[in-house]
Amino acid sequence: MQNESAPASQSFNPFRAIYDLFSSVWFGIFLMVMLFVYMSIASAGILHPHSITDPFGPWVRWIVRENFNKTEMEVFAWWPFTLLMGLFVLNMIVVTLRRIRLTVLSLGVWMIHTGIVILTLGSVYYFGCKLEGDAPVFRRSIVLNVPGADGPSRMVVRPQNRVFVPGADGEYSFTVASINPSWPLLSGDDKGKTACSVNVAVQTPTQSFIRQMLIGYPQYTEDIIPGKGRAVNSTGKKLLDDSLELTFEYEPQTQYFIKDSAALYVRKVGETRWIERPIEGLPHYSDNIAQRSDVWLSRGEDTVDTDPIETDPIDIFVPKVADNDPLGDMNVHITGRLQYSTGDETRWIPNANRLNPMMKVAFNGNGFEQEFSLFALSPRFSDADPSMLAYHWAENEQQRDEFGASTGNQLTIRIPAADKSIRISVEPENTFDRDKNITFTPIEGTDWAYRLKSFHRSFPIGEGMRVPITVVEFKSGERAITRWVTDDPKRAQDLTGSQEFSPPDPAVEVVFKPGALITLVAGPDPNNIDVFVGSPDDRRKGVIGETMEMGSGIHMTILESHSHTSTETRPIFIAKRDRNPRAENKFSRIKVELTSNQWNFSRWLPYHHYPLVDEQYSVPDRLEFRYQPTLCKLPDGTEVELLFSRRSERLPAVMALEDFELKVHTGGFVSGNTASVRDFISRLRPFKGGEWQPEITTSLNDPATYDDLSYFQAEWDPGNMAFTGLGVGNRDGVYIQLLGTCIAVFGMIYVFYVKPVIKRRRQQAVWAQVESAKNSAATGEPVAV
Amino acid sequence: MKRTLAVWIFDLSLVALIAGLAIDKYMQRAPQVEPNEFAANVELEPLRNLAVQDVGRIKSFDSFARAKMRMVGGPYDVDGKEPVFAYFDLMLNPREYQDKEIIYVKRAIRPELARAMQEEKIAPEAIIKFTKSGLMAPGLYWAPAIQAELGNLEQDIIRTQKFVNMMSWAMASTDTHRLSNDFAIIPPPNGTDKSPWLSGEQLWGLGFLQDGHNHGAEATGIPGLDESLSSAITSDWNKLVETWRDQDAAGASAAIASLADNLKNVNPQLYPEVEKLNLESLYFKLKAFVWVWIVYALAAVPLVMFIAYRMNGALTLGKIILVLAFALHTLAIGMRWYISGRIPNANMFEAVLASVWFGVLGAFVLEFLVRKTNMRGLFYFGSAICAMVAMMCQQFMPTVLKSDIDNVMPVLDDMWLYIHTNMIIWSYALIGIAAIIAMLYLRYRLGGGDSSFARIGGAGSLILDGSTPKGDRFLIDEKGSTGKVLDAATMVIMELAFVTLWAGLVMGAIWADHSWGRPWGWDPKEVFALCTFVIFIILVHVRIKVRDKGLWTAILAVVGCAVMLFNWIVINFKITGLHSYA
Repeated sequence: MQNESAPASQSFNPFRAIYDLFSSVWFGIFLMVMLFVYMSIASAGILHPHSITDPFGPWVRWIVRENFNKTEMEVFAWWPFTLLMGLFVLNMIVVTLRRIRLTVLSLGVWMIHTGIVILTLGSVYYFGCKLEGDAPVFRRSIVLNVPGADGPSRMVVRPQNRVFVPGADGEYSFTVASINPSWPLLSGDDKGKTACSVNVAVQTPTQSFIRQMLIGYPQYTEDIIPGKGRAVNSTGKKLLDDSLELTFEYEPQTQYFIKDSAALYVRKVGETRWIERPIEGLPHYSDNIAQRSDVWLSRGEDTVDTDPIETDPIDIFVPKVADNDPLGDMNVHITGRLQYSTGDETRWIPNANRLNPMMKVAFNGNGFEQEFSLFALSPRFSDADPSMLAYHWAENEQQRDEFGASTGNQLTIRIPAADKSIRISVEPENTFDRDKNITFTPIEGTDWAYRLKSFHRSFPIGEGMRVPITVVEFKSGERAITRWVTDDPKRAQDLTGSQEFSPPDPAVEVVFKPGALITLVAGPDPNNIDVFVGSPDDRRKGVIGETMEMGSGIHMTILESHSHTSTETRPIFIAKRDRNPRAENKFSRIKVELTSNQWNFSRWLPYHHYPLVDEQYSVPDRLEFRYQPTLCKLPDGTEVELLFSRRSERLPAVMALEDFELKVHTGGFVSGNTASVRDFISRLRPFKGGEWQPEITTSLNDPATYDDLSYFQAEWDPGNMAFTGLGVGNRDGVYIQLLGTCIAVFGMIYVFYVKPVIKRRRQQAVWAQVESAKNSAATGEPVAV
Repeated sequence: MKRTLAVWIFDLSLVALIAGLAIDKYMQRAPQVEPNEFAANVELEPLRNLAVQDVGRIKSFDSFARAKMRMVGGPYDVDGKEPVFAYFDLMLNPREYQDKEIIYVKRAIRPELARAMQEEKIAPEAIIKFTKSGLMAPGLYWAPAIQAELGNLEQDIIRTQKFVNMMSWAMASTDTHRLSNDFAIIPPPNGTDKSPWLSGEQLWGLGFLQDGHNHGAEATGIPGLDESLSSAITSDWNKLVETWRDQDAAGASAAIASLADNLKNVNPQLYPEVEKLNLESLYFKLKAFVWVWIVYALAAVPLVMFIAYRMNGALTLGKIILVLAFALHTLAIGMRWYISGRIPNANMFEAVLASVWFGVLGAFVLEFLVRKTNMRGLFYFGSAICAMVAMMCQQFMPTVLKSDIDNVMPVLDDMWLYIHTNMIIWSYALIGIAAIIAMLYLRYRLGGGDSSFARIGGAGSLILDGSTPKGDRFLIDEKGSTGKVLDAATMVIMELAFVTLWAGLVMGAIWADHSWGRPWGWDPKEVFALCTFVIFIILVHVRIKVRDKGLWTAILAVVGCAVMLFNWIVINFKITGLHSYA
């Protein structure tokens, strides 16, 4: 110890200084404080009141690690933490070796420090090897043998699953109608037991029935005729159709899926096996878009910038790992990620190359408020009633007038005998049916007079057709005509006195041209807008953004007018405050870009918890079991499907679910309430070496280990128990960790409770010697030391 | 002089804080409602001890009604009425409650709702009353401005949605059909213990509630039960409903007694022992013993007098009261264990109760070991204060620490619940006691005590003190420094906490390894237990290096306790992780 305190006159030696630093207990304390701070912030984040002025109001949590896109596991495997831990362990080793001489008294400290070093090394090994994932295993499939079919078909047993199979005499359909996981057996030796029953609704070309099947009891399979009961009662046979063979088969799982990982799955259309491309370094929490126009904000938020999106582009190359990858050597990049997007939406945007005039108008008044999008050249996209609101595109002034003239419902009456014609507007209010005060109006220069009797905007004329109709009455002396006219002059008819229809009387000619109540005309300049209200005579200039009175307290505002527009589909961006904090990454999406020479393809793919083989495995109302692959046509014409999910690992032994059981508390299982459940038990059957192996069981707190992997009971299907969710993981290194912790525990006990006892004994021994020395000094006897 | 003033201010503020808390809570309690003639005279006792099946448990109706009514009124009794009466009255006379303030609203959304009430032209006094008590009438809940505001608050998923949901659950819990549907009092006549019990709604319907006539009387009876018993039960029920509605106390009492008797005969094999049901009712009648904090407080007074003035009589008195408190505490745990049929440490209420129980038990053992030293009394005092604070929390925060007895979560149903959980909560109690003694040390220093400390500290002091005539003798020597004794006592507890916390962490890791598939997952609860331990490692090493060892030991013991409490309170309630159920 004396040598260490070197004379001050010696020159500065940086190695010596570092060595001294690592020999310092204060440095260790500093590192521990740093570790404490790091762990606290990395784990809990920073809690603060939502409003600084109201500390008693609600508090919010800023999860700092999410800003760095780190999961809990990652933030504690990140270099700052690793560095701190490394320095701390090094400091502990140096201090122990240099400062604490190994003696009986210091044995405890040595044990604690050694234990912590072993624990740390064990943890480095453990976390370095750790594989953690999960795998769903469905209970069964049903093999469908349909007479005359190409071969057997398969149907996964999950509620509402439906499969169509073409047979010799037509199409068969099979639907999983219901699953009862604990169907009581009432007959034979098995009375009192329960089994999982599956009811399949069968529709053959000739009949429909329910086939009730019990897993493990093929002898009890029977058909039920809806409304009549068991087939055996009415036909004497248990099965209505012996040639139709339905049998259960395991639905084994071959893979498990790694927690917090990402992968792109590809396959040619028609193939079942997905080819995986791992995605490394995909952010876990952030929204990464290159420009704001990558997404739509949810409706109503376009104008209010409540939660502005920042652009934060990413570009992750996704290399090919398998030779049979259908994308081959094409460039695959991930260029965007969204944490929370509920789906795609198609909206119209201006400034495209195609002429497609669009106008957006808003109406309000009398407590009513609505926006309409109008398309002049593709009116089927318009969302307004065409008889109320029409939008036309005029290439010149003449067209403008013509379109204007079509405003309102117009009736042209011609009296051929006098060669006189008049034009009148038809409004429902000015008809005799509505207003009994209306009298006949003479037609100048003739002896005819007319009266509008009624007007129907949409009148049924049979065969589901509806047309606008006007009824006009004519009078000339004793002659009277009641004319029904529609927009098609050929349909005009007269109603005779005997209430029968007859062909129109040629003495009067009536042409009815129904038109919109309001006509908007623009073009070729989209900002040159004419507004015709009610009739061609009420013509106004429309200005974007200005509000005009339409009568009856209704106002109209032209919001936008564009000549060139096209549709665009983008994912919806959900503002942070509207996100369900428990949703994790289930609503996340990535933008994948494929490029090859001049060709490119980019699309937003939704997150899939599992890369399911097909629709059959998709469980309704469970987002984890969604199935929504994206179709892509490659330049060579090959059609491939893309799917975004997690990385997979092969299970060392294929696992099938023999049975899934619930242990329940008194009163039985209460749907939706896990407090009534005692335990969830999955009985699994591994497949290895070409044959099914003996059953293994996993339940809560009692995992099964098979071929170095542990299987934990993690998820279940509360509705039907059609599948189980297994947690799968390895645990290499846990015994090293355990050894370290145990050495440390014994060290602590030694330091606190054994060391003082040893010290006490030594002190007392020394004291006894001193005492006896004193005594012998007093008596003059020599002392043996 | 200045120092004395500071000490006075310190002591007074401490007393004022505790008294203020208690008075504040007392003032906030709902006014006692004088029961009307019917309520005063109807004999509810047989109803209270009726067995009810409620998700996986058979409870006494008293226990069941308490839990259900707590969903409505939060910390308050519904309309000041006892839960059994309130449950029935809400079920049978729902209209009576439309304008009574019975729905409890959490503080976080009261300001917004108060503004909405202003819009509804509610009298200002009523609004002030609401913001204080948080109670609102079901009728007002449906007012347009309130609904609009609730709609807004519901949009905020992160901050306020859960409080709005709590309100809608409270409203749903006042619903007649819900109440009668949950009221599963009829054992399945031919069923096993796994068959669901039948509820009033299933059998009789509640058509009579709409128009005042009992349409249910024509119901078919209880399937599988012999006709005479079935019709007896049906007629008891009908009588009860009619007499209750007519406020006929004698008639209702007779119907209740008869109904309770008849129900026991439906399936005698399945019906729980009457004693157990009675005990459950008694347990809740005794308010789950949360008032025992007063007994602990009474014990703490003579104990602190002993510590300050070394009055031996005070120690004896304190010890006697503490034994009484501990006996009641043990009785509370024992009753709960017997009633629930499982170890009572599976939720927050139970964990808090068990933690301080271990603390007090540990204090008795330690006090026996130090009975001849100057440390005596300190552990009694520390554990009494911890138990007092813990049980005060139970009494004053009934909506957070719910005393309801439920089944243990399936994932917790394991041997390690006994080992890991008890070890951890014991270490938490020790950390609490260490902090109390450390605060005594800080108070001693504040009062001008010298910066003395125990040279060895902890168990080492106890083992080595007085081992030789020349060594330390402060633990047995009457003239020993108070500072040294307090410091040594803090370290005795600290060392125990150090070992138990580490051992508890390791046991937790072993459990996690076989339950969740990984020993350590950096879950917030795990991390903060480790953080607490890191504070104690820092303490041990700082103690080696600094000169004023006593002061730093005390400060870090209090910091460690704060981290532990942060873990137990903030992490549990604000930051959910895998450990969110305990």
